[in-house]
Amino acid sequence: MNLGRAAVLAATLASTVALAQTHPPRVVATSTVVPAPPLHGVAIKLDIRRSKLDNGLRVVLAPDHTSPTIAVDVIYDVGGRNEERGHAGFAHLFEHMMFQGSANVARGDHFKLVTSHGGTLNGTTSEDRTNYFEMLPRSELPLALWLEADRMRTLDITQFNFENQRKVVEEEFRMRVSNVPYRPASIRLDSMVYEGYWPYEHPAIGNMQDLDAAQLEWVKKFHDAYYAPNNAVLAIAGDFDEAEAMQLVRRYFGPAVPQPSIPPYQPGPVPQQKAPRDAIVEDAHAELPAIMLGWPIPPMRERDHYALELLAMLLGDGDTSRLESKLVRERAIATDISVSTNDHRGPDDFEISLKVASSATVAQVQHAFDTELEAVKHTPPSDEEMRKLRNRIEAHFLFGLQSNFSRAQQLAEFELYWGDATLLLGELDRYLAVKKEDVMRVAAQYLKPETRSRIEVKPPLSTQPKEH
Amino acid sequence: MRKLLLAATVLAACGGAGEASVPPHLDIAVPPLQSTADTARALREPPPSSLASKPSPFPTIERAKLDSGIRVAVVEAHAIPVVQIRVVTFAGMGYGAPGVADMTAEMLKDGGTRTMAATDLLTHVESLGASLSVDVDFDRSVLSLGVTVPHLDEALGLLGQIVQSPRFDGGELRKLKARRTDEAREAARGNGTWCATHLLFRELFAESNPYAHYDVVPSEIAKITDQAIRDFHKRFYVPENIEVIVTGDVTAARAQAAVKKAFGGFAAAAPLQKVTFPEAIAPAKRRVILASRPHSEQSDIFVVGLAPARSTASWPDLRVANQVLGGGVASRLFADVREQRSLAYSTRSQILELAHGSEPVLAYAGTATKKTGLAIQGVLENMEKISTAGQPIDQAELSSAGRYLSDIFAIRLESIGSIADLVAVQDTLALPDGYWDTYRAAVRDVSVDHAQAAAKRLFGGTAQLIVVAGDAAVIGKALSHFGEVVVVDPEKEFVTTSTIAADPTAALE
Repeated sequence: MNLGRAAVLAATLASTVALAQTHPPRVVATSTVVPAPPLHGVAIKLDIRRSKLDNGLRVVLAPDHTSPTIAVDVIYDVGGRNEERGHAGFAHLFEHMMFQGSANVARGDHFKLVTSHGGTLNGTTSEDRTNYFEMLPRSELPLALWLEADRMRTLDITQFNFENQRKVVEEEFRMRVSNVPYRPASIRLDSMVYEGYWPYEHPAIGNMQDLDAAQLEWVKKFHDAYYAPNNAVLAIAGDFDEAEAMQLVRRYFGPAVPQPSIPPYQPGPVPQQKAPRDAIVEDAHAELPAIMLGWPIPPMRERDHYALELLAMLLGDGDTSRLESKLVRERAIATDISVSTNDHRGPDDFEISLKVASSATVAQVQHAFDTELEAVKHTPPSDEEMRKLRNRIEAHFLFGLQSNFSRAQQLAEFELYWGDATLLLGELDRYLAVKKEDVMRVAAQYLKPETRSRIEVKPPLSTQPKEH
Repeated sequence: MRKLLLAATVLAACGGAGEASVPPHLDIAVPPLQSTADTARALREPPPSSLASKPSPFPTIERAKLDSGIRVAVVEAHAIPVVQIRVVTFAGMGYGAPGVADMTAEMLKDGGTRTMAATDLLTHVESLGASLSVDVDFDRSVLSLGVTVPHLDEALGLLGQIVQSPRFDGGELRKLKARRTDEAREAARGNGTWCATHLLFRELFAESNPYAHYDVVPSEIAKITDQAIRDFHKRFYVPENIEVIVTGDVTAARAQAAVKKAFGGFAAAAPLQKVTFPEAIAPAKRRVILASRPHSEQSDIFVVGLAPARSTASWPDLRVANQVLGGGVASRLFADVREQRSLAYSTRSQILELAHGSEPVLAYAGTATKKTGLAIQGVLENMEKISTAGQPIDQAELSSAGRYLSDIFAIRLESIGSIADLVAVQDTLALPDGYWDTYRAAVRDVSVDHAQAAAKRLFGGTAQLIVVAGDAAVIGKALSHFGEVVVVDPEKEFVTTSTIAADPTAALE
């Protein structure tokens, strides 16, 4: 693969965009219209149309004329999981570079153009993907598409921009990680659960050492390798005319050159964990001790993952979840608990965090948690608990469809991760199909002692409570 | 094009005159933010034209009043079969003794009702698929629930019981106080912005002003009794001081009937007592309050002044001027402090809206410990430039700020939760129906002269209060460059531990 040559090609074609405007490429895939089925007794309207351009760009449209606004979301199939060792955090640093100017957009103008047209924008990088989005009045759909297409095709890369954004990202690292209580421990837990599996063993935000070592020439190579139409999904949600939107999509994204040899993602297997892993993290910013636990589980959307998500809700979602009600409210031995799946598209993990009250001990909280875990492994949730979980899932699903951006993002991720945005429509039913026996079974099957990773967070010595 | 030329010129001039436009720690050539020469820019393809626009007026608020005096506001939005409910009590975090408002609201949620123990109540709420949340702001306490349409009546019924017939269980209060004490200690150690915000309110408002108390410290929590909570509830949770807001997929008639059924039995108690708000204390000279956070790798910097009251006629001018300085990614602070000088990831300015009297206006930057002095200087320079002839607001900045502040409303209106919150803000600030549309037009019509005058009012002068949360042992001396530094210990309830005399010659790093 010759990354340098690909970049030259991209730059050349970008300068011919005016020609492309009068000769848009044809759409090679037919549009798919999927009306939404009734959901658990409540009907919603959600039209989804899927297309694909000649250059491989997948397009998902979700027209909805409720509000005179639109969201444009471009997500690329690259994230922290694609980084090489020694490059931790580079996908995120690169995301910052995408706001530093492109062929037709001067440095700083991306921000100014969106804001001055009454909208807002951002980009985010996770282990699994990188997204860029604009939310604007409906009249500014062409602007959003033009901006995204321009930086897909070529970037304005300079040493100054790169050094500047490296330092900005390092400030972000301090704000989100090193200066935040419990956050370094949380990252350490991921590295323990995924020990030997680099894609998720390191966080998308990276580390200071690798950020310091990042090189300018990596930026161009990264853009050439991953930022191509055939490695991306474009989702548009909101108040637009479909034919007009597709015409604009073809005009602006049609000239983007596909990358014939996108680096293959070959992570290899997750090394099998055969014994529990334990660590202690001393945290100068923490006031209270904490216990963090993690287990490997199957990827998102596998059948057992739905049951594991319900298990997480049973244990930790809401004031009446089992751990919240027992440890925080009834016994007051913990001040805060959280239970979640990480929702990776690859091998996932199940995480629990328990913050120990100043009046209690780590041992007390650990024992209370172990008791609850054993209980759920041997007794299924009650019918009343299942009814609560199903109602909460339904409400969460519906509220999550409200904003244009939320719809665009969910649809884009479904198209990118699972190959079909319309799968979103059946998602609620897959949660509702989980049986109480499934919840009990997955607790026993996946939350096993030998595959558990555990961190104990210790505050500075002077403030640690005495063991009773 | 004119704006771009002006920006390039100003940056070049500053670069020649001093260090203002030179990013620290870089030994490479520094281009201006608009890096492209005019000739190159002329070759660029211009942004595309806009499509037809549609108006996005604030939706109609259907209002009613129950016999008891409780106000009801309903906004219909039928896109998705869900509703949001807000029960707003117009009493903020400092309206009683420190912490009592917050604890009262929490106890409404956690303390059960006369007919339901705390656990039963919360189980009932969550069985509807909802989560009951509590938010106590400067001027209001809000109970929020979001449910699917079929659960509306039941949800309102529960909220009615919670507000009208609280149990305030003593056992639950003891547990809540213990938890809040741990949380307050956690914030004092681990949350720099919390520490700085606590301090800036303490410094700007006299002890007798309800706004002097931002959140609560452990000794204040210890003083809170169940009687204090009952008294606060009796005083402020009265019909004439409560509004129920319902937004979503429900007709106004049905929502109003459901609210009446749930809250109709609420008997009016004693007349609402007025709360007094002494005038805020404007900083007399530039000085620094430093909340010591040992081992902190980053400093949270707030440069603080006072803005006119929210009710001032020039409010749109103030909002536009603030937007230009630090209102988002197109602002000057973002462009200079972050994108040019690499001093922060997060930097912004903000007016904290209060219902009574003058309100804080602050510029924020979060920066690496060793760059604290440089970041403060960067923020101050931008404040000076925008408030003087150094770099007055230009027409392009003005247009951008006005359009953004106006049109971002359309995006906020996509969510029924956001609509409910806007109604709550409107009614907290006693703004008339139709206000948001009037405001949106007004910010787009602000003139350069008015925006400039507002910038001078907000950011002019040299008497700012600078509040920093960071590693005092490392940054204390550098901060004396800006004025006297008072070092306080947040883990000892902000007691003063030392003072560093002003030293304008102190190195910034």
